[in-house]
Amino acid sequence: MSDLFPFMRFGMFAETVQSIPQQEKFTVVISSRDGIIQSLADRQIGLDDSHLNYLCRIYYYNHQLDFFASHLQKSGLLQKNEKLLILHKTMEDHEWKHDTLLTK
Amino acid sequence: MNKQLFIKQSLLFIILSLILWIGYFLSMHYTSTLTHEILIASPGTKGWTRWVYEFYPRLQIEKWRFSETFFLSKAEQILTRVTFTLQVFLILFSFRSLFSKKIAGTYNKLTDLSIDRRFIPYITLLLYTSLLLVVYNAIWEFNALAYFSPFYKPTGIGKLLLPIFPSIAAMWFIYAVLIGSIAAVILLPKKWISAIVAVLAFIYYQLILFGFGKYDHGYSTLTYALLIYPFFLWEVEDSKDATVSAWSIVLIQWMICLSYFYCALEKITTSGIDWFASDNLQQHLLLHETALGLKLASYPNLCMLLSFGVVLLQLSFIGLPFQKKLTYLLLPAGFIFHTATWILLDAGGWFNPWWGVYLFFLFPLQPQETK
Repeated sequence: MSDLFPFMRFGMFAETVQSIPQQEKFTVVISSRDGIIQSLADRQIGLDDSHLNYLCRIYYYNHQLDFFASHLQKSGLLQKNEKLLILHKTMEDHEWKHDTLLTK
Repeated sequence: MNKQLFIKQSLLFIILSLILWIGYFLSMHYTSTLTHEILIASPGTKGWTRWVYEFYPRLQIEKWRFSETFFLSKAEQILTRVTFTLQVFLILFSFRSLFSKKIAGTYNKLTDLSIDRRFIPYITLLLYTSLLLVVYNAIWEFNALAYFSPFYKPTGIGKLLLPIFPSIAAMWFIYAVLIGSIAAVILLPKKWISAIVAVLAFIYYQLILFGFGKYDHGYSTLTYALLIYPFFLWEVEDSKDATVSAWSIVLIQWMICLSYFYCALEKITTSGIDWFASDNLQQHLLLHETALGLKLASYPNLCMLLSFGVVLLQLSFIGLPFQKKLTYLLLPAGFIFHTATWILLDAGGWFNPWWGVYLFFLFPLQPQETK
């Protein structure tokens, strides 16, 4: 009801973060051969962390995360010696639990 | 007041209110069944459930994440909000003769205002400079988003105006129109046509940006202001008087104040008293993981105090059109608030379009001279 694009959406931060699905986070990172890991959003790609988190969530819950990851891997955003990884973590008692690697 | 008329109005009010509340309780009774039907329906199927997915495409994903109880509470909330809003309108409609004079008096006092012509170039310059600050790097954003084009899924009016992700040439065209029209508004004498082109190009910019399923309200007040401002420019160019009617400026001011007010109502109606609990802001801060945000999260009492402060600030904006002195308090507070959401929650950037439109409160308006 509050999502009347593009003029109205005032629900941001209106929801309390209580249920478990609200306490999850997807991160897209790039791992280079020399072990350096960098967030994809840090490369000024036009989409910020929250956008990427949202996209990952869509493809994760649609069981298409591999398609999403392989497209990004081939898209030209990455160098030849870099690999794209998608991580997932959940929060419990105000603490983030360890990241789980979702991509192959 | 005429006694007979009052009895008539009261009877009408009671009957309509009864119908409204019977409708409310009946709908509440079926909410659970309807919610279940919506959730088990697939988005592609025909029938009434299709419209729910049409208006709320995110449901396709969210229904796998949250329980049925979550959506049931949302459905009940919407029903309650609609019923209360209709009830307020019903009171205003049924007893309009009781307060029509008072409303008309207040309305005239608030709207029959004008502005000195000398201020207009400054307002125009500041407004379109704000827009320029928001969109100057749009072409780089567009080019980067092109990597994600297979995931472009517009919703709402995006489906109509920009159903497929634009080509590189189309993106350059939108960018050139956007920057060119802003420059034309600032530099050329005839401004209102360029102002219309600028706001249309700005809407296309947002369509590209938000065509990936996630959109936010970051640009809403600026978009509203840009949609109304061409009317003001048209009026300015149409007259040669020393003062110009400021109805459009007043409308923009109201729109800004109501947007803030609505933000506070969203928080209160969506989350109730839980929104003020210290762990709410703490959780938001922990989710966004900024350095200062994580530090703040370790002070629960401060988190609670800040939550109250935010809602109080947003609610107070509704008083601004009535009490101009509030400008000195609310605008600096709003500036601090938006800067804090950027630093603590990583929401928006260093230049926030919400305080980009504060300029409409900076220039004095005066009662209109009667000719």
